[in-house]
Amino acid sequence: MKIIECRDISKMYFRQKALEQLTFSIEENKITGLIGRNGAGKTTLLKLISGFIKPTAGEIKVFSEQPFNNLFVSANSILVDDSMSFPAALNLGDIMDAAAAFYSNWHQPLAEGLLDYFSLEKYKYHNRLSKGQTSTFNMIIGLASRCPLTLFDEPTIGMDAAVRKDFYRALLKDYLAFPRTIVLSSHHLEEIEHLLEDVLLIKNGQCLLHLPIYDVKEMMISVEGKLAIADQVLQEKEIIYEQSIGTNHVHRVLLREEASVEELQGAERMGLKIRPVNASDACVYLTDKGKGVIDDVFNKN
Amino acid sequence: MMSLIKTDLVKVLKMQYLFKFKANIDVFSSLIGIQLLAVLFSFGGFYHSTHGWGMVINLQQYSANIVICFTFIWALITAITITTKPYRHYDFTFVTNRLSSSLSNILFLLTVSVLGSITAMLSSNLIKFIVYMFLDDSIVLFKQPFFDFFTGMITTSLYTFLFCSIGYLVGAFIQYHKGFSVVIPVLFMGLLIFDGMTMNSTTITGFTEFYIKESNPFYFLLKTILMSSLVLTAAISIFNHLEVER
Amino acid sequence: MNVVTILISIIAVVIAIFLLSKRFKMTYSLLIIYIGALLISSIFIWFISIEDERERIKTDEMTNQFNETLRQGERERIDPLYLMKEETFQIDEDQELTLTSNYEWEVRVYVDRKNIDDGKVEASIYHIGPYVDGVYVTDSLAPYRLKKKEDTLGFYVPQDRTVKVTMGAPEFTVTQFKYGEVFSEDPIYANDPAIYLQVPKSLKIKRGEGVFIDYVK
Repeated sequence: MKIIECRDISKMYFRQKALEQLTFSIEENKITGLIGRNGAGKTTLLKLISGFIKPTAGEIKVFSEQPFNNLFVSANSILVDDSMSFPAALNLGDIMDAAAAFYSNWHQPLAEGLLDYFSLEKYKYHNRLSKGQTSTFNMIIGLASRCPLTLFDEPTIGMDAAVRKDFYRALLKDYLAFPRTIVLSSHHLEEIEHLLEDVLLIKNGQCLLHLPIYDVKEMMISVEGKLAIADQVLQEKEIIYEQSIGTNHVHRVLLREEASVEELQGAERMGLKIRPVNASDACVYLTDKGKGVIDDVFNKN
Repeated sequence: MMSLIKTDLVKVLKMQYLFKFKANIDVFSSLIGIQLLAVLFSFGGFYHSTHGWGMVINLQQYSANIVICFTFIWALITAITITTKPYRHYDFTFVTNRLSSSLSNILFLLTVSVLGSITAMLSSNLIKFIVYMFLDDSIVLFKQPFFDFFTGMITTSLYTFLFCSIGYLVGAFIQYHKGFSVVIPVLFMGLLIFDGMTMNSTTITGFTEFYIKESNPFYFLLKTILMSSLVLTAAISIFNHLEVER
Repeated sequence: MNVVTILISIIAVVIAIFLLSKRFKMTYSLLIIYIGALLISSIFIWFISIEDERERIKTDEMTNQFNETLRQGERERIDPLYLMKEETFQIDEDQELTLTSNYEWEVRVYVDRKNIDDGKVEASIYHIGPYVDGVYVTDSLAPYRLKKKEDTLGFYVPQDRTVKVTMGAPEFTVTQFKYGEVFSEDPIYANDPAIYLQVPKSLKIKRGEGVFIDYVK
């Protein structure tokens, strides 16, 4: 069953396109990573799915219903981000009570256990938490609500490395105990790639790819070696990314499907180093395509 | 497969209504603050001296009129406040749609209007009590006709709720476009000045007289309820299109 | 009075300390204290309140009725409450009696000729009010005086006395329906005094300063 279905959705903000003709669908009980650079439209997409905003064009369906102004979608989904708004008059314990009232799948032991583990006190107030604590608390609300559709928008902002690791572990454990559809947005994939089943990569409001994480890991290879040899071997092949190392060495990335196994073996014999590209780098190369690298900015001067 | 939660408007409304009492508890602090301030201003009372028949009667009258007026201002401000982003977005953290958010806000405003009006009416006793404590030599004529308290409470509640409704609509306009936060006060002052210059009650004063000059309780009830419904319907339809930009 | 004040303040402070000391939300404590104060003062005021049994006096109606009744000579129909004073003076019927008054406006004198010449002038002073908010507050009123000196009968209003009255006015949300307008009317009502004179049949009467004479029948 498809939980989220988007067909040609666009969203304009003051005549500026945030999303453009995005089409994809997300299956039930999958953990999908929503990957993209800053400003790619990740937050806009998640807000569309939550029904916070309306698409300018196209059709979006969550649980087969339009999410905007939809109680059913609201009751079955939660969007967790660092700007989640809680009343200043409520302390953390009160907020958890409120969440328990609203979300019928709410699991109080989990919420209390996590709160205790992350050393957050119930009588503290949300607006007095540090950035990392805010993210941690919001994440606890998101996990304990056990909504059939749980959306995390950059959930780890401000968290330190240890808390981030714990968070991902908690997410995975609770997902296994209580499978649900999760969309996790992030701009660095390497941290979350072990959790993900699918990757949805967006750039400039458009969907670049939507593939299982395994395929993304296998998607590209990198070739490194002398410039002359590389030019010879990689003739007529589409290079996704290129970086010069010194004056006569080069590092090039290309799609695995561009080159056959024989060609690659031949290249290795000629002294080129062939390596697979990890998923995170693959996504960076895809979203960077055409822009070159930061070095170029400096090389021009 | 995970079973999806069925929900209906009434259930969500009930939850949001209860939630709002906890979330917006601070409106009661401001209510108490503003009413106590008004009580303080009421100690002056209304002085009136009549001379004749071989006597001078110095009459000092005390009432909760100032408290009631301050409560109206409080109602207006409270209604505008709960339309602002942080307050609207609490709902969206949990389960809501725009209609249920507005309806629960209206139910909340209705309840605080009644509560604020009861305390405003009772505050007249607090004023009288304190005045009585400091009285030295005077004939004291305090009466407590229950029926007056009852009608006063209902009328004050209706007025207060009308102010809440107007505040809610003003808030809706401001949320729709920030420019209204300038336009509305300017328009209000402008119309007031216009009324003053033309020396007749057409706009703001006319609107006020429409209510305060109504001496038939039934018509008054009708006028306030109709106006509130009209104003709130407009506000709901504005909010129904607003996006959440958190 | 002061004992009550002190006692109530002490109780209020104790309750306040109790509410504020516990891990209690500030707003809840404030609400409880405020509502408590309102209720206590309401109960207190309820104890010292007077009953609102008297109907609102229809002032114009009452004045007209009063004057009309006296003009008809049916003074037994007037509530004895409003009869302030009765006095009898001896008089020689050949005299001409001049009526005067120092009242700031003209005092109405209703002259009722008796059927006989008995040498007696019987005077009654009627006065309605003053009422404040429907309550009769004449207890502190200095009575009017009648004085006969030779052929002049004078009506004298004593030196002004100051009365201080403290009252609770109904709120405008009450008066709007109760009196039909937001601003409640003047709660003080009093009628000008009137003198009812029963004079011998053939006595001549002369109008002096400050009086207006009305003959009965």
